[in-house]
Amino acid sequence: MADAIRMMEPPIGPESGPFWEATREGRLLVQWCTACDRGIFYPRSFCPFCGADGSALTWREASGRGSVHAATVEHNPAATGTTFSGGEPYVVALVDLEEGVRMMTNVIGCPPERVHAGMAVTVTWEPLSDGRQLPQFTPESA
Amino acid sequence: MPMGPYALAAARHMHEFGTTSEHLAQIAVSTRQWATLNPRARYRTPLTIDDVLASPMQASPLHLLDCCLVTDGAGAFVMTSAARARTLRQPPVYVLGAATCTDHMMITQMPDLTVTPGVRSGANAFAAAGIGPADVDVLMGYDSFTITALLHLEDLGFCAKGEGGPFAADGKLGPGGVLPMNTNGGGLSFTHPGMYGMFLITEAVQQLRGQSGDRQVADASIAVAHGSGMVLSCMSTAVLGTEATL
Repeated sequence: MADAIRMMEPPIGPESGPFWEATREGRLLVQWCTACDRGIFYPRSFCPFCGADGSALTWREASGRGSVHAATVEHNPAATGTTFSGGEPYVVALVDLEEGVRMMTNVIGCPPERVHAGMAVTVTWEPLSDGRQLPQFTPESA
Repeated sequence: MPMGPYALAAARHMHEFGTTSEHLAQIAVSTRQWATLNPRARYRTPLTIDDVLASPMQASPLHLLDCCLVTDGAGAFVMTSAARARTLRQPPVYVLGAATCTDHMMITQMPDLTVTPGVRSGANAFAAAGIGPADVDVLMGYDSFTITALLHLEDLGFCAKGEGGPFAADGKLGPGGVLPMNTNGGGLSFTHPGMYGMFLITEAVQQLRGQSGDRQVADASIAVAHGSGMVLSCMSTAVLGTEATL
């Protein structure tokens, strides 16, 4: 994993524990509502589509494949007050996973300006300091 | 705050509809033309499309001059009954219709990156007023970024979805155009203290009172003030009119 981006490491929220634990093994989990049979991302305490409570929510392992829905290249993150400056330019993308959920993520491993809507991408893992890994994406052909 | 989410919406609009950076730049250019007529505007030097495209890229496809200002500023208006307003010193302006609509909290949850909740707030406000987009003399559409204003044009029904770029491209939003938009110079060139919505209302009211000086739109009798919040999440539409429109 090249393209290191200086960042704040993501905290573990009350609903996202299983998601982060799985990243230690390089598995990408998507929350799933068994009541309405839909994928949910980001993790919730109840289904945002049908309102089912947490007992209806399970986890499914995603294939890690998806396509870019939209992408932007950040050239001046300091101007937006983020803590991500230092690695620019970098890509922020919305990636639609095969399982039907949309993630905000980075696309790495190719020149930023090459990333475009419709591009097929696959997950790659950026190690974090505590053994968790951050899911990012690379072009499938790369 | 949120340049990136607007950049994602712009990128998706370009992908789906062929919208170009030149289309977006024209909105900044037309808005600056209005600002040159407003002595209180922060930026009053005329702009060209090339100026916008040559300004530093911030979050692609948005250049620096696709982005609103960061300023201080304040405004105020007085609301009262129509009966009371008629006894006051200034010509009254009437609320013909108003509506709001809120959708997603985050850009990842926006159902369609190219469609804002303005589709609903606009339709409801127009229905309440009993008018349509063709009746509007002057539009104040919150221009946090050029893409924001472009989406308003489509979602309020001034043009079809996807056609905002070509619609804006021939200067119809600027002085002398058929749809004067952001006649004070907007968030792009006049002022933008974070909560720009107040200035949508004050400029709409000044236009309807005939108090907008060099930038006055002749015979303006119906104005729309359309505000946008969060990351294309919340939209408010107010249709305002003169006494003659009641």
